[in-house]
Amino acid sequence: MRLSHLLALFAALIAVIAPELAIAATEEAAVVLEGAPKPSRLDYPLIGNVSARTVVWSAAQMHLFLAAFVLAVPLFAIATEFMSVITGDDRFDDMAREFMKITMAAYSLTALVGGGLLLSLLVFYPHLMDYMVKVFRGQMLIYAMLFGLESITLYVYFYSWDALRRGNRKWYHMSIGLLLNTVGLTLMFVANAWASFMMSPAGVDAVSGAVTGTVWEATRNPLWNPLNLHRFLANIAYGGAIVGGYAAYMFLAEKDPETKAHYDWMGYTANFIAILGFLPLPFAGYWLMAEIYAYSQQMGITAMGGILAWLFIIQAVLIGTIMLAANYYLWSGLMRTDRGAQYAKYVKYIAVVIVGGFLVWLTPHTLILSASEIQNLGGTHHKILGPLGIMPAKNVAVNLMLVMTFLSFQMFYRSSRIPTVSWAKQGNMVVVALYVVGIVNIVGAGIYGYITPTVYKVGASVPQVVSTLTIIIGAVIIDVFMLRGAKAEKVHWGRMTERSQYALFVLPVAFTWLMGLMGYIRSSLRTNWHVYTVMKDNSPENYIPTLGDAGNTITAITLGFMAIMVFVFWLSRLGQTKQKTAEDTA
Amino acid sequence: MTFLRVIGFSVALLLFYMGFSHILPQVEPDTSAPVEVSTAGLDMDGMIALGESLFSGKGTCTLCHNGMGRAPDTLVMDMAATFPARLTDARYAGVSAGKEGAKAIEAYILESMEDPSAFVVEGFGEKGSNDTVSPMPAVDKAPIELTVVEMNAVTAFLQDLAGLEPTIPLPSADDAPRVEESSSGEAAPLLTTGVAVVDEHGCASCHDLDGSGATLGPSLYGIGKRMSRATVMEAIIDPNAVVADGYDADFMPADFGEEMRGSELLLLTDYLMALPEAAPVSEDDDDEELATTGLEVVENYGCAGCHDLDGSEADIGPALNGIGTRMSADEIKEAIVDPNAVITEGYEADMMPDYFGDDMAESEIDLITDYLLKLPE
Repeated sequence: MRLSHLLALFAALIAVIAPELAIAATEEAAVVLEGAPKPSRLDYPLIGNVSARTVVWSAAQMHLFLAAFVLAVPLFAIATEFMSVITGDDRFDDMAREFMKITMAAYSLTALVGGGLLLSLLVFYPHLMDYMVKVFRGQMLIYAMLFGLESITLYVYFYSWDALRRGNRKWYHMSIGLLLNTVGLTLMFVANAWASFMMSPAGVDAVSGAVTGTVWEATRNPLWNPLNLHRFLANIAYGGAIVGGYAAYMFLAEKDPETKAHYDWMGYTANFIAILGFLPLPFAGYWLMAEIYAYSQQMGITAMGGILAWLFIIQAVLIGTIMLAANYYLWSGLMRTDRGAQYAKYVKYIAVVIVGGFLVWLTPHTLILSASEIQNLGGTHHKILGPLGIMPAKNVAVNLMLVMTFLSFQMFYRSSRIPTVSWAKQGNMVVVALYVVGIVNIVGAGIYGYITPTVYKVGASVPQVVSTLTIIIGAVIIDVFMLRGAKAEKVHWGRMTERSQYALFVLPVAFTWLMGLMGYIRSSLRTNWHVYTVMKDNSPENYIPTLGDAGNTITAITLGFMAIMVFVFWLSRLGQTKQKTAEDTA
Repeated sequence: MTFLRVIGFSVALLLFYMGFSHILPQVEPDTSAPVEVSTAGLDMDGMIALGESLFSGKGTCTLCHNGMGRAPDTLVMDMAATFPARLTDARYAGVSAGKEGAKAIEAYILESMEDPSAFVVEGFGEKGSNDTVSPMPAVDKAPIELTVVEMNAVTAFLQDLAGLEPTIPLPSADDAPRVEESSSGEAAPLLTTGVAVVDEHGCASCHDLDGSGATLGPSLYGIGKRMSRATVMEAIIDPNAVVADGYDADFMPADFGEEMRGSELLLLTDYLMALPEAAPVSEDDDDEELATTGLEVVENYGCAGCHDLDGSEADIGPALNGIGTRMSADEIKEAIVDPNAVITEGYEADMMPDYFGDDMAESEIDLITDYLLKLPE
């Protein structure tokens, strides 16, 4: 690599670490106090009957799916590579490498779709792009440079796998992986800055939209960090879910028991990582929504109590199916161990809580009813089910579902280990007490939420979150010490029903659709603004589409993404296929 | 087979999610182009009506001012007692502090819209601000962007709600983007009720309204349940944008948007949105008072909605000016009772309702015939 390239990369890194240094040269440009463009309806280019919004929506969502995958898998890979070093188990290392190979094919498709997104934005929304370039200036070039750096580190990380596999060299390899993930996450954070700026602009004049601040001020807008955390956790869950789906397919397709066992183990590990990323996601979601309310109460109410409120019923269905599928998979996994049966008797109770929580979560608060229906119901809210529609009930439901999902994990983990420490009985009592006190606290805080004003209801969710995290963290710590030196029982990998594998397909399908839905919600929150309160969207399609229309579009994009994933997996297997020689045939 | 089973399962799951998104209530979006609403000539009743519409519409006030506890429930509270109490509140130091009367309340309401933190009602401030910072956005700024006239209208509505005589200035010519004038050059009288707008523009001639039973256009009863407010407004301004099943495009005049003032459009829309789902059961026809002049008959049966009468310039049916020089009294009566017997050149059969002969009393037919015979060219 030439020195100039290295210097360019160094400049890009500096820009990320200390953006104010990188943008110093462009400060003067910021003095130009030209307001945000105000295009009229006729200023938006029309190409035949092509729906500009659907084109941009599809390209953006597809790019996000692919980008989430190619960012998530390296995160997944570095975590499993680290596990291989810690445990000395080469299966982790093989699995990480297998997935990095798939990423290589998906990476070029991500760039291709990204280029398509840029082109469609420039063609259909030139005024918006003009404004965004004025606000973010050099950062867009830095983004392009980071993309180059991402490519280099990705190739080096993958192709050096075998060369740097053992001993101290493994740490070099993991360092490259760390750099790859750092660059990848930085790319995501930069893109998040643009998306969050459009929702909560900063560094510009509140009335005219004229650029008055630095790029860093625009980047560090109120919703940037909540979005960063939310997408980071979601990426981990998403990566795990897709790997799980792949493993499930391989499990079903393979006949060899040893290979099946390998993919069963891969499915379990991927599901574990997916749920690990998924468990804190609702809390990150709370933070994001709280920040949205803090930034603009109107925007918050539009999301949770206005035109978009029904979307959260769909979200509840999606998350409910994810929870049920993940738990079903875990319960099925109890048959892998000989002691699993003694835990299986608790499954029905966990199932009742999860299904109950699911039903509470999807109970709407306000119903759109006809006059006669209101008369029959005696009001706009159902007397018994109505109270289940508001946040206190839903907070109780989601926290209990998370606690029960963790319990399912814990049961499988314990089913293959018999504690040998002398204080095992007392330790178990502490764990039970943790669950009991935590659940009482979650339910109690939920009841408190009913008797306090709306503004304090969100506050009531904090002790519930703390209770859930205390149960999980406390139980993990106790188990770590209590199961040290435990008598290990054999885990019969591959001893799983075929039906259980379908639960692993639910996760990536539901996650992908869910991401599409949340993207629709996030964009719709801006209502008829390109950049909220600063640059109006006067295009013919500046309205929020109906749920049904959005559902159609999201489904079409998800199907497209699934087709791409099938192609990518097929490519990966094609690479392993060797034509038989004449000798082989003989 | 494994591949097909997996793909089939995944696609079925996707279709389930998609189907679920369709069974939930669909909130139809407002797809219309922005409408330039003129407020010229709006009187105080019109301003109050506009203010009420803005309070739950563009102003988005009811998002928080409801019973959910985010902001005082203005529509339910006793505002007659609340406003004076606010002005004398020890924590209030705004423009109307210590003053009294409707004018002071007007200033207080306007101040609370432009600078919500000037006074924050106890318990409704931002968390940690000790009720010194309001979470309410300034309504004259983005994203709400109410104009001065619109804020005045909301103020008038709130003053009216409190039982006060509104004190806000009425919109001036400077506030209005255009001034509508009648063909004679004099300003047409301002219509201040939805019923007056319906009568003026003869909506009941084609639509079943006010018991007209007309079927040329779709019934408007229960339209508020079927369409959003914006779509109703769009259907008035651009009738061909959405054409009801079973009806033809290009039938309803497309110039109502130009003919009506903005305030009249709002009043008409609100009137239509509030219509019951079905036409009220009419009282015995025998009890109805019969028209006593030809003009009353014309107004009662909405003839000007289709014919150019009384300056309506409608052109669905032929112009009736000077008809006495072209037709005899008997021919006019026959045309009313059996409109398809003779069709004027350039017009189609089955356009004019054929129930006038049944609905009108004989005396009314005589009166309208006499009235039409005397119409000048």
